[in-house]
Amino acid sequence: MKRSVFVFFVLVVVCAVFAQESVFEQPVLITSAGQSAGATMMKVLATKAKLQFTFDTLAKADLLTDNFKTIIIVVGASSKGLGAAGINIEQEVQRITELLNTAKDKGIKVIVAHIEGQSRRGKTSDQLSELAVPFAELVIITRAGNDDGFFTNLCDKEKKQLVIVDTTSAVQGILEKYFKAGD
Amino acid sequence: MTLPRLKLISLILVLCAAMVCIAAPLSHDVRPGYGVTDVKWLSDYHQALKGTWGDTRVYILEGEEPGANVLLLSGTHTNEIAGIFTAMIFIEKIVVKKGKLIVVPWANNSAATWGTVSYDNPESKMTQPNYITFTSQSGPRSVVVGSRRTNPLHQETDPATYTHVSGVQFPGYESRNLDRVHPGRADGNLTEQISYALFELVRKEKIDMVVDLHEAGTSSRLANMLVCNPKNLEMGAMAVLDLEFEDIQMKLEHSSEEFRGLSHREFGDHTDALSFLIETPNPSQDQNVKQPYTLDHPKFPLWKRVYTHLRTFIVLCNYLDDFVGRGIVFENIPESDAFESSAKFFMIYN
Repeated sequence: MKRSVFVFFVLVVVCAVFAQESVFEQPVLITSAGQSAGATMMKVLATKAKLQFTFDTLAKADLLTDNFKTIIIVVGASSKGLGAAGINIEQEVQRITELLNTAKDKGIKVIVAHIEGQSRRGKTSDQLSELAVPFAELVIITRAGNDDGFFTNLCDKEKKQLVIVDTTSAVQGILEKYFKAGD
Repeated sequence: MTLPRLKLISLILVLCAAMVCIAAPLSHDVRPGYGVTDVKWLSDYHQALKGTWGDTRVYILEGEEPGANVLLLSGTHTNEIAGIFTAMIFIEKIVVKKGKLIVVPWANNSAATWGTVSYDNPESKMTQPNYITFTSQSGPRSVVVGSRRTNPLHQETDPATYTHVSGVQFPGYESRNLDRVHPGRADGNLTEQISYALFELVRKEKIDMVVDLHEAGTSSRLANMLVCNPKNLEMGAMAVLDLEFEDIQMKLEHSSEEFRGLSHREFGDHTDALSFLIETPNPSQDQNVKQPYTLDHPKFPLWKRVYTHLRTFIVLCNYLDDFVGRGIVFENIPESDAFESSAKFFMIYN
């Protein structure tokens, strides 16, 4: 009797752990919020993780058909990137807002990532994070970008699951873990 | 005017004219190893440079097997010494087995002819260039530490505003900054002609990848950064991720659309070559620092900065096969344990 009670509680705990962790499905849309080089890093990581994805740093809401099950938004504001894309930050905010709202309407899950460390923090990048994180089911960041606890506090406030990794390369393992669980 | 004073003025004029008109390019203490298969001049690619202070040595390391052609530039800014010491490792130690490596260690050789005690306003306090002295396997050696821009005595007076070929304008002194004048002009000022010659080299040698080695202040956003032409950003991302496994943390950035004249932007846009620029942190480029160079430093010693350049360049080369369908293979790359102290580091050199 005692043994079966113990097994029952173990099962409950295991189920609770799995229930807390989001699972994600493919295909994936990878886009940028701020046009930094981080989105290209994510493209490389997703390739290594063997995800089925579309990469479009300027993806607009009308791209969100039923083909996509998950969006990965890589946050990082870059004036060079915005200039190269021929847009300003207001246009970028509008694009991201429409994308996120459409994703919510269509039930597409959102992962927000900040993987370029401290050098890609700043007022504009933080504003983009504050815009995107409330829509996220999972937030992935590198430790170097969270020295001041910005993402910890933001995810606490928005009650979002936060994964912190030490290196950008380690994001590959996180992708493999969460997408494998979803397949 | 007295006769002796007239003679003195005449002598000064003759010396100045000699410096400008019958210049012999600055020579350097480089001791090529077995890997060097040919040595050329930059003027071989643009005759007008011959006999000017802008001419410089071009070292060719050609493998037995054809492969990718790579251009390694340093000394675009001759005070950014980690790049120059990296280039010297390739010339003195490394053998190319497949492909061809072309090394220009002092891309702006005129900039190596003068020093300064002011980083912020260097032309106001011109001095003789400084020299780093060290002992290598073959005994005492010295490497010059020059300046960021072409010697003002070697080029006509700076314009009030320098207009780049794209139409973008810079302060006049930037007309002597090699990394603001690319892709240069065949009939332009000396600095533009140096740039033009480098572009001719890239075209004539069918270069697949250009890598330009630089340094920045330790608190600069640029420090430890790999800057990529947008067309090769993905290759840069792969290199940066690989370097993390070697405990080398590099930031990734792409060229600005508006900020013209820089090597990573213009080589990539005006030639078929992939184009990268590597920046390491140099304490001597921090504000208000007076020493012209830094060898030993608790966080940023020269050997560590050179190692970052070396490994970043090698990792980029490792991806050439994937991105251009031709590779380059090196032998005799120094092991990481040679980069642990200045004494060990300097013994890498011949």
